[in-house]
Amino acid sequence: MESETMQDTPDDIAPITVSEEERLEEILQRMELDAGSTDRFRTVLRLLVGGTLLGWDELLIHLEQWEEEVRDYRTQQETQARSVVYIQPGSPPAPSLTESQELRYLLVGMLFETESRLHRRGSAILKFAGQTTNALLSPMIRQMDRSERLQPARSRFDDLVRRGETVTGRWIQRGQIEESHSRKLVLTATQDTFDATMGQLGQAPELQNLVKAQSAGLSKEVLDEVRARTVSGDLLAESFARRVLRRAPRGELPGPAGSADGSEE
Amino acid sequence: MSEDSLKGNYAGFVSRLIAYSIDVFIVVFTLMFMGWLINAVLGIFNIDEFSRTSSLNKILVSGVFGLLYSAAYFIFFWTMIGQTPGKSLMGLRIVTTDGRGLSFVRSVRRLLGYIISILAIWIGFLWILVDNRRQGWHDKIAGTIVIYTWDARAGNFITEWYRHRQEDSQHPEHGD
Repeated sequence: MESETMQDTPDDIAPITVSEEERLEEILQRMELDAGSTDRFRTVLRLLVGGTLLGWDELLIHLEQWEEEVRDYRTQQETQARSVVYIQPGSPPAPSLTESQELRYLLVGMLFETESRLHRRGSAILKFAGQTTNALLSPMIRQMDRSERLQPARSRFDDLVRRGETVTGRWIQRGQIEESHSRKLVLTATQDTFDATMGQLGQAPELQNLVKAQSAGLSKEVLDEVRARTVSGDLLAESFARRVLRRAPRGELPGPAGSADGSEE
Repeated sequence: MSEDSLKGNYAGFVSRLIAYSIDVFIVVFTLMFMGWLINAVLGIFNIDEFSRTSSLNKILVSGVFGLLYSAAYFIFFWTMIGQTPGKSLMGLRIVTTDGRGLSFVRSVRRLLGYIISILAIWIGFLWILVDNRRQGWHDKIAGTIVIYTWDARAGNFITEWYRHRQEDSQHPEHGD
C-alpha cells in the first residue's frame, strides 16, 4: 500500500504515492480546505484545469504521432528519389515538374523559408536582449551585494525569500493533488457526456434526419433568403426614390426584360 | 417558372449594389494578397528596390496596377460569362438590350460608363432607381440591361403592396 502509485497519470508527471497523498490530504484538512467537499466553484475550476491539461497532453501525443508519420513518409520519398535523381540545395527544380507544381512548391518553400528566417532572427534578438540586460544590470546588482548599508534590507529580503519558498512548496504539493483530481474529474465528465449524447442521437432517428437535411439545404436556403430580401429591397428603394423625386410610382412589378430570357447557361 | 416569379426581369438597385460590393471586396482582397505575395517573394530574393522608392512612386505604381487589375476583372467576367462572381452570387446577369451576351468592345464601353458614373458623384449608378428599365448610365452607354437569373420573388408584404397599388391605379375612385 505504501508504494502503490495512482493510476491514469501520464509518464511526464511524477507519480504520487498513496502515502504522500494521504499526508497532503491531512495538510489540506488542517488548512480547512477540504478536498472532498462538493464546492461548485472548485469543481468548475478542476474541470477547467483538467480539461486544459488533458487537451494539451492529447495535442502533444498527436503531434508526435503526426511528426513520426511525416518522417517515415519523407524517408520513403528520399529513398525513392535517390534512385531516380539527386536534388542538391540551390539546384533548379526537376524538369518533370509542371508549372502549377512549381508554383505550389515555391509557395510552400517560401513559407518555410520565412519561418526559418524568423526563427534565426528571433533567436539573435533574444540573445542580444539577454546580453544587453546582463551588461546593464550586473554592475548594479554587484554593488547592492557588497554594500554594507543595504545589509539589513538584504537579510529581510532573504527572510521573505525563505517564506516564499515555504509557500511555493505548499502550492506545489497542493497542485500535485489537484491536478490528479482534475484529470480524473474531466475524464469522468467527458465519458459521461459522450455516452449520454451518443445515446440520445441513437434513440432519435428524426434528429439524425433533420441534421442531414438541414446541412444539405441550409446554404441554398440562406442564399435564396438573402436574394429574396434584396428583391424586396430593390422595390422599396425604387419606390422611395420615386417618391422623393416626385415621379409617378410604378403601378405594377417591373415587366419582363424584352427578349432576354435570363436563363442560366 | 411560377406566376409571381421575376426571373428574366430587370434587376433593381439593391441587388446590384450588393453584387457590386461583393466584387469590390473580391478585387481588394485579391489585390492585397497579391501585394503581400510579391513583397514576400521580393524579400526572399533580397530585392528591395521597390521598398526604397519614394512613397509617391509606390502610390502611383500600386494605383495603376490596382486600376488595371480591376478593369481586367470586370471585363473578363462580363465578356466570358456575362456575370461577375458577385452578380453570380446574387443571381444576376448582364445582357444586351436584345438579350445577347456582351462582346469585348461592349464590356470596355460599359467599364468606361462605370468611370463616368463614378466621376458624376455616383449619380450614374443611382439612375437605376428611377429608370424604367433600371439602367444606370453605364448600361445606357453600353446598351445593356441587368436581369434576374433565378426564380426571384419579393416578400409577401411587398407583393401585396404592389398589388394594392395596381388596383388603386386601375380604379382611382376607390383609392384613398
